[in-house]
Amino acid sequence: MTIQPHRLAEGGLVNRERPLSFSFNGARMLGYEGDTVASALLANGARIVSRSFKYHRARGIYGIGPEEPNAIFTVADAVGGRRTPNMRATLTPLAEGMQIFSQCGWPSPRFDIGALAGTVSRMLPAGFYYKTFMRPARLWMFYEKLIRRAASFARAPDELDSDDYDHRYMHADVAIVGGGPAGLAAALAAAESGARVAVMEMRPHWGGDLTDGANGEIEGKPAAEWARAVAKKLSQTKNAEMLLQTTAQGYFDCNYLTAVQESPAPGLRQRLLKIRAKEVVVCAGAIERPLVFAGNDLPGVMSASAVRAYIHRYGVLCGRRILFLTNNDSACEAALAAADAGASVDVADIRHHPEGHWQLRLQDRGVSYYSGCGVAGLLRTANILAARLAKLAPDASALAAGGEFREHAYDIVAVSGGWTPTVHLFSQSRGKLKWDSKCGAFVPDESHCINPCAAAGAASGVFSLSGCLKSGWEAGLRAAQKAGCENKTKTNARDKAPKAAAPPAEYPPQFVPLLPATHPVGRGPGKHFVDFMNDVTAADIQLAEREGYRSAEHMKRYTAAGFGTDQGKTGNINALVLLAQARGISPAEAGHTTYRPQYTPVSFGAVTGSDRRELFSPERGTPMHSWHLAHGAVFEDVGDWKRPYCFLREGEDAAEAVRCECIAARSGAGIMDATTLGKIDVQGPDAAAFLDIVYTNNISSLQPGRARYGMMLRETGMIYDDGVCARLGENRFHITTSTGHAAGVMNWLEEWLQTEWPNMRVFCTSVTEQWAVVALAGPKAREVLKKAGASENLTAEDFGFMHIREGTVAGAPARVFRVSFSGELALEINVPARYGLHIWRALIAAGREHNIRPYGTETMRVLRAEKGYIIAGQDTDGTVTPADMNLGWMISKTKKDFIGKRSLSRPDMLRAGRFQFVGLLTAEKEKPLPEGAYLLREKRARLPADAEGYVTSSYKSATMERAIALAMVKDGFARGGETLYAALPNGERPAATIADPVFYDKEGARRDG
Amino acid sequence: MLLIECPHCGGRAQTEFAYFGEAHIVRPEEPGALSDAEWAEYLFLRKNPKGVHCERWMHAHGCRRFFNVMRDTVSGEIFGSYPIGGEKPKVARGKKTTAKTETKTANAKTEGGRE
Amino acid sequence: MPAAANFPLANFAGTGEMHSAPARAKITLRAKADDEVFLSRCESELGFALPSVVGQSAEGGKPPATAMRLGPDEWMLWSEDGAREEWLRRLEKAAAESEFAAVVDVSDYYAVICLRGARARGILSAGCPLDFSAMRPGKCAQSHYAQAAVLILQCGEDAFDVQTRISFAPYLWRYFQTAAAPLL
Repeated sequence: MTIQPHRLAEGGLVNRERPLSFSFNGARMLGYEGDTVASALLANGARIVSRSFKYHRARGIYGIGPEEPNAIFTVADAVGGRRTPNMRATLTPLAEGMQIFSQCGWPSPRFDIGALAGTVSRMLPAGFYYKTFMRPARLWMFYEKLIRRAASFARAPDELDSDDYDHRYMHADVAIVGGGPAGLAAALAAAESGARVAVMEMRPHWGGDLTDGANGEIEGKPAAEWARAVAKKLSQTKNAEMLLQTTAQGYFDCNYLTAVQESPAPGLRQRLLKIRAKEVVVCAGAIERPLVFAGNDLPGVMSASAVRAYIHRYGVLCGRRILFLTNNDSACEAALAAADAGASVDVADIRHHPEGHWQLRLQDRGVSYYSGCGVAGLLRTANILAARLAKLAPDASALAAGGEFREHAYDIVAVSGGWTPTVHLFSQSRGKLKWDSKCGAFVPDESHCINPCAAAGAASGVFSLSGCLKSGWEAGLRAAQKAGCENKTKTNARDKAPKAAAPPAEYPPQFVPLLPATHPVGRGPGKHFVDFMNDVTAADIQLAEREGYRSAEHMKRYTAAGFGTDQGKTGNINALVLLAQARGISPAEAGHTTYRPQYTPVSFGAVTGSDRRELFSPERGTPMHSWHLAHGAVFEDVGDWKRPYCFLREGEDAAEAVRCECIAARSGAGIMDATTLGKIDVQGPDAAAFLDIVYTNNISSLQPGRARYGMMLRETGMIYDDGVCARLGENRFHITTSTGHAAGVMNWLEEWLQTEWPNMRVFCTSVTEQWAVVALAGPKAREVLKKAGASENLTAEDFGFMHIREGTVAGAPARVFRVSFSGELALEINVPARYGLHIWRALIAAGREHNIRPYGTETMRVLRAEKGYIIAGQDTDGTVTPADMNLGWMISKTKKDFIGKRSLSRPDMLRAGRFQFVGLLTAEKEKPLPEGAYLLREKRARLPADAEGYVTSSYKSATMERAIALAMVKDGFARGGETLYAALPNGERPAATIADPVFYDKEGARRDG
Repeated sequence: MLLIECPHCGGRAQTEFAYFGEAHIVRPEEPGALSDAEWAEYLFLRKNPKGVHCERWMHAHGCRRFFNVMRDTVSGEIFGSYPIGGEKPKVARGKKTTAKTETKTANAKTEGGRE
Repeated sequence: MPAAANFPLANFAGTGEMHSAPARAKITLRAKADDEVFLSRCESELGFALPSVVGQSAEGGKPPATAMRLGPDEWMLWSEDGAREEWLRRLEKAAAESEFAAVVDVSDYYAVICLRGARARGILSAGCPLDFSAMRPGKCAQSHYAQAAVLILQCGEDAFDVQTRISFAPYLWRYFQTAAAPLL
């Protein structure tokens, strides 16, 4: 067995000094550094590498780039055997120790039991799953498992992706997609005009098609050498960013492009580039499309240009006996390259009398040239392809009358059906496409552009080398000019485009939807494949049209043509042409489907970048956070904040900690970190008038040094947020918001001020984190404060409820609010954030003799629930009004207007049956109801049934020594004493009685200590 | 990702902004004088056009000013930004002469603030 | 009484290339753009004129201060932390003369991370959509860096001061470190 039997003795860009060993489905093989998985497999003579999706047909490697439809593998790294599924072999660089596995075909691609699907293929045409597996409906889940197993879905990896990825924003005057002749010419023109240029090339080397064997000279140098020299020059230019192994993936609004760069730096697997460019030039080249003929998907059928490129790029000759089947001249160049490399070559050309430069050269070479001939059938036996060469009618729509046949054997059939400009990005930019009958495909229509985007070179339908250089150069110049860059080159810069010799006279191509076979389409053994990834045939497209799926979009979805991860790069045009033929219209009229990002599959890693693990989202902590971490805090997420839920002491679980914290707060002292609440400084001569508009209650009557509980409604009358509004002076207020609404309320206030009342003289400034806030609560709060050292005015008994005073606490300047959310005597001590940790520690030390306990959000919730205080966003959900929450007293009776007032008199707000805020006492004192539970009138009500209400808050109350709950119940205010039943998911129906939501200290005596 | 022209900071990426719906919604002078239907119209009914839309944006990660943008909801073209209370830009379709990037548009040393 | 000098990043060891700025006074000034009284009063208190263009900074004063115009009616003043009370006093005096101007101490609200050197722009471009090649020394801009709102002042050729809310500072620091690693 020869090592790498298909590797040529010399040639290619691979590094023959560095052999790499790898395995394919367990078989050990050798390749070289610079190989892709595909080129290495071909060098080793791999033939059947996979099985197709639906019919499990044996498939080989077809192409050489992103258009590859068959060679999709799971690749395991040498390091740790980490597996990545769905890697395209043609785009995956070979690495030492790589293990490559086929994903479809059991037990192996070569002997696949799933191939039985192929034998019943008549029953599995396009759309079969819309017509089968329908009944009985309950068996669908079972069918789905079978179908998924049969389809060749790869297995998702089990391990976490341990590679690193990142993102980078980039800005350019001119972004150029593609580093072939057109792209390099455009880059040169733009850079020399002084533009900031970014050039993206998906391959690991510059030159595009120039490295694939395009012969010819540019500016007197061999073309590939010219490309290397230009790339080097540009790399040394300060205003040019040259990006290799970078695939432009998507074109978005306002000239924003995304691109994925492979191995951008040591330690990084991929980088997502986010590029904003003033102008974009798409030089993405063209992709060769197949001819549609019977048996065209067999292993050994390849793209002609791929065969040529494998020779020049990798030094691999795919076969020894090659048939080139074509309708245009480009395959002739490929045939010559194959012959030069030592293969025995035949050419079958569907054109009847092609007489051009290439035909002469092939003739001189002694290559058998069958003109006016197509392949009417292809059969495979082991590695041999038996081709039936048949004479065609002049328009190639049928076999020639008199039916002349030849049967020849080959190992490779290299096919060229023409070139499809790569218009994806141009189309994504919302530029329109137009049909070009010269190349038999869609090309960019630059007269219909929305974003500043141009196309050049093969991407715009120009295929000659000289044409590409010229069109690229001009596009680059124009782009630089439009981007506002000085044209620094001398006058008549258009003349300075790099020159190449004019191409030899070519014989025009002949485009046909498909080649006739010995049997009609859809009958007979040979299938005319159009989309290899999803096994879509010409018969399927004709079926779709017959069944009424006549638009391009419907045909695509019904047949799944173009759905695979190749996005139809080889098959889309052929599918559209067949559809047009079936409908009897031109392809221009049939139109095309919508091109969408991504151009090739993009890994989740690239999209994620650095936003994972501890950087997934900012973890926000208060100045006291380090203390909480060190003292047993269990955290809960409140937005991005980590707030202590409770503090565990030795031997406690969360429930016990909460119980102890509640007891401490009501019997001695409790201390809570309330820093996260939003705080806004509102200043100006119209501050009071403005706050009167945004709150339901009267603010302008508030005296300096006093605070009020304030409620804000949306204009719909629903409760939005509540907080404390404190007046510091005639024109200055300090208002608080709930933690979760800090940013929202700030935006709310600013929107009113800037868009509705810009003449009001008010400034709102966020001060949320300027102040650290410690809530000290409990009958011993004053004693603790005194012990910690506070200015006298703060510990005095005349520091009244809802008063604000400024003083010092433990030496730190403090603004203290006597407000209470717990119902106990409480002081909210605001200090500049730098002192937060200091006073926290000082107060805890001072509180030891009173058994002070820090408490968290759960205890805070329990204490306020015992007092019947609402939490906006927990007891309210944006659909309830103050009256619903029994807070009608908060609505000013004297204010003429405020946000939400008008809505409160809507009929729906005044009707009977609205949900109203009540308390609930469970029949079983020890068992709290789950929050969110629905309440039923009847214990034995059959579901579905109307809910009487739902539980909004529920706790085990240490203070009340029983479970308590708060709920919203229809007409609840009038139903005190009534028993309702909670509908639990496990079927239980615990009873609860409607009660006053103020369970504790109804008179409010505790709040004064 | 849109490039939005903040009247004060110049062209910036969409991620710096927050969207606030249809522009030019004026709060009725006398809400009490409106019928329920008229009030509901102010609260809920919006043009939602397939085409040119005047909308309100706010430079959230920036100067935090509200301003208006005229944008085509189908093609995504932005015809311009204008301050609250300012004059609307003209609708000029077709291929733009050039896109702007995230630089300040005014390199000029103009005195005074721009409202 | 103790207050962490470089709170909240006191536990993050910096280098010349990336370090937490020493404690800095930060004061928000609000006034209408045409409030000549306030602007001229400020100029006499500061010893230099507040910048008139959004995105521009100005320096001067005793003790030295930097003022940045953040919006049509908003400026931020930076100075050494020890001068905080003095600056508040002077600026509140200026504000009192105007009918409608506000001075708000936000010294503890934000932290400032200093990026210096050749990697600074690369670090910033990993998470911030601004075009840093269009920034100049003396210019400032607000934007976001990944998920943190930031104010960036370019203070030298390759020198940037990045201000963010204190609760975002550890996240920003870690993100900068991650972004810097590939830029060897």
